[in-house]
Amino acid sequence: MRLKSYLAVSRISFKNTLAYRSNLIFYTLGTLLQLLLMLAVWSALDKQGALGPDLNFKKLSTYSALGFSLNIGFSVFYIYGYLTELIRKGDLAMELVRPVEFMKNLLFRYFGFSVFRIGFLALPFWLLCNVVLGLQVPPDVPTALAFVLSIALAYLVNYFVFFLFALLTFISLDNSGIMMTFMSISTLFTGLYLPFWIFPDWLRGVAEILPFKAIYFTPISLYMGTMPVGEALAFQGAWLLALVLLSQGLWKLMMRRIVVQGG
Amino acid sequence: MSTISNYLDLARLSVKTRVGYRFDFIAGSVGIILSNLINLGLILILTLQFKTLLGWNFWELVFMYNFWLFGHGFYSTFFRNIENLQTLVVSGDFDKLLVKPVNPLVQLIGSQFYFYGAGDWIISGTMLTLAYFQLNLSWGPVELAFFLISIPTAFLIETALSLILASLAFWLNKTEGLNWLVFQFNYGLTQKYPIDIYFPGFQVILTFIFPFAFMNYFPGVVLLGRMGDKVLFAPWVHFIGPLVAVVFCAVALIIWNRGIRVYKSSGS
Repeated sequence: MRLKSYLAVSRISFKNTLAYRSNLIFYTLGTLLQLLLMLAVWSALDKQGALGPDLNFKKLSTYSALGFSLNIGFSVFYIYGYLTELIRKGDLAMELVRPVEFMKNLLFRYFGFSVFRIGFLALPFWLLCNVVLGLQVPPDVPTALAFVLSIALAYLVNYFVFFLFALLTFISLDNSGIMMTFMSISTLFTGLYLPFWIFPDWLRGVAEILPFKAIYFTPISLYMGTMPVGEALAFQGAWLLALVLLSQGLWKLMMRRIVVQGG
Repeated sequence: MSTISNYLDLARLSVKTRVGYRFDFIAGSVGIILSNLINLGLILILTLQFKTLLGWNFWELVFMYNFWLFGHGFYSTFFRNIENLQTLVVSGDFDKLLVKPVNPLVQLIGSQFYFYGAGDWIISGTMLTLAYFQLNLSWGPVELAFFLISIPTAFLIETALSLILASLAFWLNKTEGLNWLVFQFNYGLTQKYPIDIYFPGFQVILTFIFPFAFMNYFPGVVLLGRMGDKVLFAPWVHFIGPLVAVVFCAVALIIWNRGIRVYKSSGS
């Protein structure tokens, strides 16, 4: 019965999203530009004959198109804006006295926000890429089904990694650097821009163990059949569990030393 | 020149309000440096694996990226507040700028500085110097002068486009999505790689519609001595950056002045 109140939170944030859907469409066009940038890089490398036998344009364009489609659905900008507003105005105190748990409240808010992004932006984006670019498909049906589960895990890992970054905002009372740091690390270690295949060995060694890998590189590799299904899901599941526990622990610790700004 | 002394007064006030946020300044600068290092890291990974990107080697790509960033540092430090115009227009707070006896544009630009733009200069200054020596460039006075004039060219083009886009708020109110998209052509495409790797349509857009390519590509090809194989459109296009900057600034001022005339306060 408590679930009902959380679902109401999701419904409200879904409606909030609709209010600025025209901006969301512009943001999606911006993501399209980023995809076109990567396609230009791959096609330049293809033209100069640098790709070699293991990589080819179709494989790399599938990788990038899938990565940016997921990126549209996973965006945490709304939650970032919501959190910074709460902190800047000092409204966080009000949120904490509500009879719903703040962490769950935020998560369900994020679900509501994602419905529009996934259903009306990410999915059409992905279909369009398939039609225009003629992309690779998963090797078999079980892999395709496992891919759906993998997306769900990636979505949650992305959220909890971001939530941990956001908690740093509570410690430092600063938020300008947080998002930038989060975005920078995401750029490299999630594999959104460059697949780990082309990383130098030492860097790949680092990237392979970090949780960021579970956000883009793992589900895309699973989809393309370059990573065993079991290995991919186990990696994502283990990191998700660790991140949830870490978030809860840190959140409790934080609540003991909270400073609320303004009044 | 009362306009300039007004601007300097506002600048002094802006500095005073920011002193209280020293941590913000440090975190912001570190964030900028880190995100640029990561972008350069991506370029390094690509060139380690594939040697060159359409004939550009690592240090040439570094030069182009940071040439853009060095000019952009002036925009991001001194002119960025233009991007807040939309908020002021929608809330009606723009009224405050109109009733004071100082040019509203001066007030808008001078009322807030973003000092962590210093991060842009630290990283781009370092990287440009490294690239200069790694590429064994040896500029004479002519090249040096061309480099120096390319810097104001870059930030004036950026400022002019920013002002044009921001001024649309006088007619359209909500424009942030559009502004963001246009600036993706800037941060997302022009800065990242030399524009000759992009599809021809984008090269046309970045030269003739949103001429961000004059911030790095066109002068950069000249300064890197690649006029032999990297000329885009025509050789003379590589030298008209300053003219483009002046024309776009004039257009921006015309649009801004018209915008002020149609501005109706949102009241309340």
